[in-house]
Amino acid sequence: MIDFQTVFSDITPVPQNEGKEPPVCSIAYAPEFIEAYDYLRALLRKDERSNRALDLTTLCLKLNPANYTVWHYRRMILVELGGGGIDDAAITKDLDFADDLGGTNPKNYQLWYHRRALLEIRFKNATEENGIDAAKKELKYVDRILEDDSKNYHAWSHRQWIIRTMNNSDLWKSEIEYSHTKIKDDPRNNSAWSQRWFATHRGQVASFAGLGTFISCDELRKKGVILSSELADEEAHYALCGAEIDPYNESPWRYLIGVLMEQWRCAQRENNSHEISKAVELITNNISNIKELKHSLKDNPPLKEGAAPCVSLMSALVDLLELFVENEELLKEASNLCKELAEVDTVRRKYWRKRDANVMNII
Amino acid sequence: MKKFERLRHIRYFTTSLANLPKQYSSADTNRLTLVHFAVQSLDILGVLPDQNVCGDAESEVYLNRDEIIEWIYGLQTVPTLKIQATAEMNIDGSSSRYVGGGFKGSNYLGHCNEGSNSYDHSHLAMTYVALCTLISLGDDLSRINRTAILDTLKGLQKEDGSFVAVSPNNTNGLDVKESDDDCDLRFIYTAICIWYILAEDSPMNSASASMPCIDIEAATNYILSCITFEGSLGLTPGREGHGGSTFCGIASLHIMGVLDAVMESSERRGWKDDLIRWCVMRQYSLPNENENVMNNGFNESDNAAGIQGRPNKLEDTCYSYWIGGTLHLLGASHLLDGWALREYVLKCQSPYGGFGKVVGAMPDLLHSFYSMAWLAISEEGGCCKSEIDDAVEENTAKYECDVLAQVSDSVRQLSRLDCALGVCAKRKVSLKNAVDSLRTDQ
Repeated sequence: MIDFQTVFSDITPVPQNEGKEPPVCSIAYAPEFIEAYDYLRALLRKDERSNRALDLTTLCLKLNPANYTVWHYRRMILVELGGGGIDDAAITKDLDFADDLGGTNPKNYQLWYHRRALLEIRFKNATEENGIDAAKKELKYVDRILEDDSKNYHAWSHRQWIIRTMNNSDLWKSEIEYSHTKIKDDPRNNSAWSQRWFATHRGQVASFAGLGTFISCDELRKKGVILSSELADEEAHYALCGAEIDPYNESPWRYLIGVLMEQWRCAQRENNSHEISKAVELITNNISNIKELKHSLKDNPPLKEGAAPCVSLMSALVDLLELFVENEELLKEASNLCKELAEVDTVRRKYWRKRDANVMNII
Repeated sequence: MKKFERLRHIRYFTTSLANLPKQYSSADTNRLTLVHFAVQSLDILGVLPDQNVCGDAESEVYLNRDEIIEWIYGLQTVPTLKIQATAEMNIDGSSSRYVGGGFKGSNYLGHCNEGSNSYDHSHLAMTYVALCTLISLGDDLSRINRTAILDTLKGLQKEDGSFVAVSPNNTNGLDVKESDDDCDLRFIYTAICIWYILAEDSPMNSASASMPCIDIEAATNYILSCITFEGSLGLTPGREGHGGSTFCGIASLHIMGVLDAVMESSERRGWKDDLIRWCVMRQYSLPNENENVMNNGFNESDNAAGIQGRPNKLEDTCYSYWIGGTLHLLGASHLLDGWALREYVLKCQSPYGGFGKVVGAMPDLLHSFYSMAWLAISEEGGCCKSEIDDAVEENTAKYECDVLAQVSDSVRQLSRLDCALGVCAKRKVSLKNAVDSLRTDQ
């Protein structure tokens, strides 16, 4: 709390000016909100960068942590008070402040951005070793947040920013392990599967977008934009293991299809017979693995779902089977699966009918 | 199925335009977006007055169009003319350009009649909602500082094609690098909408300018670099796919007029299928028949299925529009179960009017607008068309038939929405006229 009459006795508060028309979407601010922001407006006008101004931003941010102007003003004050920079002790103090303010589940852009702005300074001033330590410490902090909400979009993005900024081989590797830990905790955590993709690809995005000139599969693998053949095998295996734990979970299935399609599309694009036959082999193997899983499910239905048809599994199978446009047998299998899906996945019956029609068209 | 509570919604949106409870304090910097949500919803409901005032100041339903327009213009920022260091030319052929043009989200820093202070700045999202709201209120945009806004827009685009959201009006304010974090698909989308509405070289306006206002190719490539292994779009390259960012990216491609070309390119063979599959999979499964009988008794079946924003997350009404709208723009919204989605959205109606995020939640303006927006587009693309006939035929309970017919009628009466831009389609005609006259004036 601030004793405004004493601390700001020289300041005339500036009320919010709504203009001469009646305000629109007028918010019924609490009296303490109005008082704090009236003084904030007065200080902003003078651009006063003092300790009492810092305290006022603390109060204003407690009242509304989403006010990005106040965060910005606060950083300007910190720079001024630090004699032209923010020293490491002040950074630690303000990281703690942001942490307290966010509570256990921080979900606003500004809080995370404040951390990032402070850490940018810390990383820039640190030696390589100290920088990595600081990064690890921050990753631990994010982990604590993810304990509470394992799908917090901002928290995962913040991890990506740290790892990308550091671009350190060990950090990239340990992020793969981290994704594994989070997937083990909850295989239905799609954010963790996405992070695994991010880490195995070292943050690079192929999607064949904006590449402009043609690059061969080999070159893309060397750059790590797409997985090496060995890694693709391993990751497909990993995904399938995840799917075995809970076949009704969409996430591992989509990760599997992502891994396989990356190899397939790259080969198709290069139109290189060696690449294509490698991709065909990879996909054929996985089709038989999936079918095996499908049969074992039939024999030993899981307790919870019983004998309920497994939509995620069936739909992954359709995606792979329909790639073989010259194999009528496989296409018919795909078509039959679509027909079954139209019956059991009723909310998407129109979609599955459409998929079936597409497959039938190729036949 | 629940009825569509038209009158309660009209009351909810008009009272929100006047006063909001203190829970909205965290949206203090973006009050303009709240105005946008309420005004657009009323436009969809077809009740924005042709004359200035609707109702009277004492009644529950009261709207003064000119007062709202004046209030919005009070948020237009005062731009600064800067001399370019480089010889780069601007849209008007000069070598100086404006920064800080556009709108701010509310007057927490002061009203524009006070002049500006060093922390004042415009924001892309606020400029976008200001333009949309003014258009819907029938303003002719004659007081829009078009040159300053387009100059500012151009200056905010980065080399990678993305846009910085915030433009300070002088060097003491937020510096552009400072807000790097804000470069994501939300601001590509709002930038593209502003360009579409105001620029000469946009598809909205026929004349092609000698100097393009924004780099369409770079923006397109940035959007494509956000494609995930699932086929969706993340907020920035590498991030998890998300319903909101997917809509922003696809709607931007649509508005730039490159969506079809991008989808058909051999470089991205298969992407459209991936994207449609990802979107369609976001709709929750229907509860099976046994569950229905147990939970609801015999007559009242629950056929509600909402949409989630990411795999294995909860349903949420706003994704009805983000995901349903994406499918709509791809010509594939008929692949959803439109009636099950309508039923979910209607279940989220609040007894006070408006819609909550989930069943039983308090209503808020964001979820209310996106629920309305989805209902407005659900009449198109065959999304619910064949289903109503089936449902009426299948359903023997007379009550259900009546409700279905009521819902069908009330949704049909809603104004059609331009899905990509987020304003009623009928406003686009007046918008074109307004911008045409703006061009001849300036």
